[in-house]
Amino acid sequence: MSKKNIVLKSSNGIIFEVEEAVALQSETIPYMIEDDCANDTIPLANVTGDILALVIEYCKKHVVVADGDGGGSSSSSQEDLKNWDAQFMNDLDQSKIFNLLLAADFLNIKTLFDLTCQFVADTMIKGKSVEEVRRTLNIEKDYTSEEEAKARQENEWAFK
Amino acid sequence: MDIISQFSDDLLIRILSLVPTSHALATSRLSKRWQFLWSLVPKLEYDDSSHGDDNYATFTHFVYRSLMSNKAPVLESLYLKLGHKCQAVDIGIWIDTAVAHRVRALTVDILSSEKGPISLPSSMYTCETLETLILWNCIRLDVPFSVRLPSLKIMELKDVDIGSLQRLLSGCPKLETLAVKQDNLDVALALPSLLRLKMTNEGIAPKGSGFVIDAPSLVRLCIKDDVLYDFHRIEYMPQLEQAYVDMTCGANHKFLKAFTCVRTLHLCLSFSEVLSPCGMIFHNLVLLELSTCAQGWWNLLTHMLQNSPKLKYLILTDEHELDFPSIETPDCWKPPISVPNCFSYSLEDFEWDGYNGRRGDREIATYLVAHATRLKTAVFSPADSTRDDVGERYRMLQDLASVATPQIFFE
Repeated sequence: MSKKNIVLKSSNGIIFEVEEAVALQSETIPYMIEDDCANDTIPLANVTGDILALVIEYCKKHVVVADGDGGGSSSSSQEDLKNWDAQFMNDLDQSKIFNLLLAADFLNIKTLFDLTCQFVADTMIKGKSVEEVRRTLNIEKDYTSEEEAKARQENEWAFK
Repeated sequence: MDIISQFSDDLLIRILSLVPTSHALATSRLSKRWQFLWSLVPKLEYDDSSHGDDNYATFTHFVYRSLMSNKAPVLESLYLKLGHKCQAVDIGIWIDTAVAHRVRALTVDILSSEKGPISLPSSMYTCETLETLILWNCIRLDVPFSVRLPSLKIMELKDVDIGSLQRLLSGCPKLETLAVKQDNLDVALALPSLLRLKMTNEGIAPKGSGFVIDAPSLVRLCIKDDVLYDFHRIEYMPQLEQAYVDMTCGANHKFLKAFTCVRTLHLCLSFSEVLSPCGMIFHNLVLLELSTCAQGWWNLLTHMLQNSPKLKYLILTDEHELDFPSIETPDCWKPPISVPNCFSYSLEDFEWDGYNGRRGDREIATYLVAHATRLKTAVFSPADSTRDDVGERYRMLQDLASVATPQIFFE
C-alpha cells in the first residue's frame, strides 16, 4: 500500500502534512477530500494551529496501534494507550482542552471527542459543589438573588 | 461569556450525560444558561450509597422528581445502584417510567435487600426499545411467558436469581452478547444470533446437571467453570475467532473439536479420555496459550502442536483464574511422533511463564527450542518458587542455552 500524504491548513494559515491514515481518523476530512481536488490543501477554518498540532499528535499516536498485527500483546498496548491519553490530557490547560473538544467535534474524531468530554466531566463537574464548578469553569452567576432562591426552592429535593 | 457556556446545547448535554444525575442537576444553579440543560440529559444514573439510611426518603424523592422531569426525547440509559433500603414498589415505578420513555439501556444493581431478591416489573420483559440489559445481584427474574425483547442485543446477568434463563432467552431473537455469572448453570442455550458469550460458573452442581451450548454464529467465547458437571456439550462454531476456556473438570474429544476454527485460544483443560489425534485440525489457530495447571497439560500440548499447522505464538502459563494450584509435573511426556508442521513453517515466538525446570519441563523446553526452526524468540520466566534461588535459575539457563539456536531470554 503506497503511503499518501494529506495537507491540512489551520485557520491561522499553518500547514501540516500528515499520512492519510492519520488524517482519516477524522470522519469529516474524507468529505472535504471528496469536495475539493484530491491533492489540494484542506483548509480547516475552525481549528487554530496549536490545536491542530495537538489533534495530529493524538491521531499519530492512535494510528500506530491500530496498525499492529494483533498478536499477543494487544491488551498491554491498549493499557499503554490509556496511560498516554491520560498524560496527554493532564498536560493541557483548560482553554486548550475546550478548544480540543470543539476541534474533535468538528473533525468528528470519535475517540478524541469521547476522551475530552469525559475529561471535562470528570475533572471539572463531577463531585464538585456548585461554587467549585462555577469557579473552575469561570461561570458568571447571572441569577438575581430572588431567581436563585426560586431555583433553589424548586430543586430543593435534590440538594439535601 | 466564559468558553464552556458558549458550547452548543448538544455538547453540554453530552458532557452532563457523563456525570451522575445528582451532579448534572446541581449545574442548574450555575447560571441561566445551565438552568434546564440537566432535564434534557438522556442518561440517568442513581446510586443510593451516597445517602445515609436516615435520609433515604430524600434519595427516592430525588429519583422520582428527576425521572419525571426528564424531557429527553429518548431515554438512552437508566442506571440504578441500590442498597438494602430499596423498595420493590419504587424500583417497579422507576423502570415502568423508563420503559414508557423508550429506554435503550437498563442497568440494575441491587447490592442487598431487606426482603430478599427483588422482582422487576413485567413491563421490562416486553420493552420494545431495550437494547442493553444488565442485572446484578439481589434480583429475581420472574420471566413471564409473554417475554418479548425484540431489540435486545446485550444482556449481562451476574449472581441474580434466574427463574428461567431459557424462557428469557427465547424472547431475545437479536441477542448478540450474553454474559452470565452464576453458581450453577444447568441450561441448554440455543442462540443462533449470538456472537459473544461469556459464562462463569461457580459452586456445586446437583447430580445429573450440565450445560449445552448451541450458538453457531459465535465469534468469541469465554468459559470459566468451577463446577463439576456431569456433562457439557458445545456444538461446532464455524465463525469462532477467540476462545478462553478454563474448566475444572474433564472435557472430551468432541468438546475440543467444537473449537477447531478458532484463531486465538486459551486453554486450561484436563481430559477425561485419551485424545485421538485424528479428525481435529485447528487450521486457523495462530496463538495458543496453554495453562500448565490442568492435569495432563503436556499431552494436550503435544496434541495441539501436532494439529495446529499455522501456529505462530505459543505461551505456556501457570497463571490460573480458578482456585487450584499448579503442581502438575509433566511425567512421562512423549514428544510428537513426527516434528509438527508449525515447527517447520510458522512458530515464531515461545513464552513460558512459571517455568519450573523439572525433568519433564526441561524435556519439553529443549525439544521445542531444538526442533522449532522458525523460532525467533523464546522467553522463560521462572516460577515463583524458584525466583530467589539464583543457583537453580543459573542451572535452568545452562540447560536451555545448551540447545539454543534462537534468541533465548531468561527473565
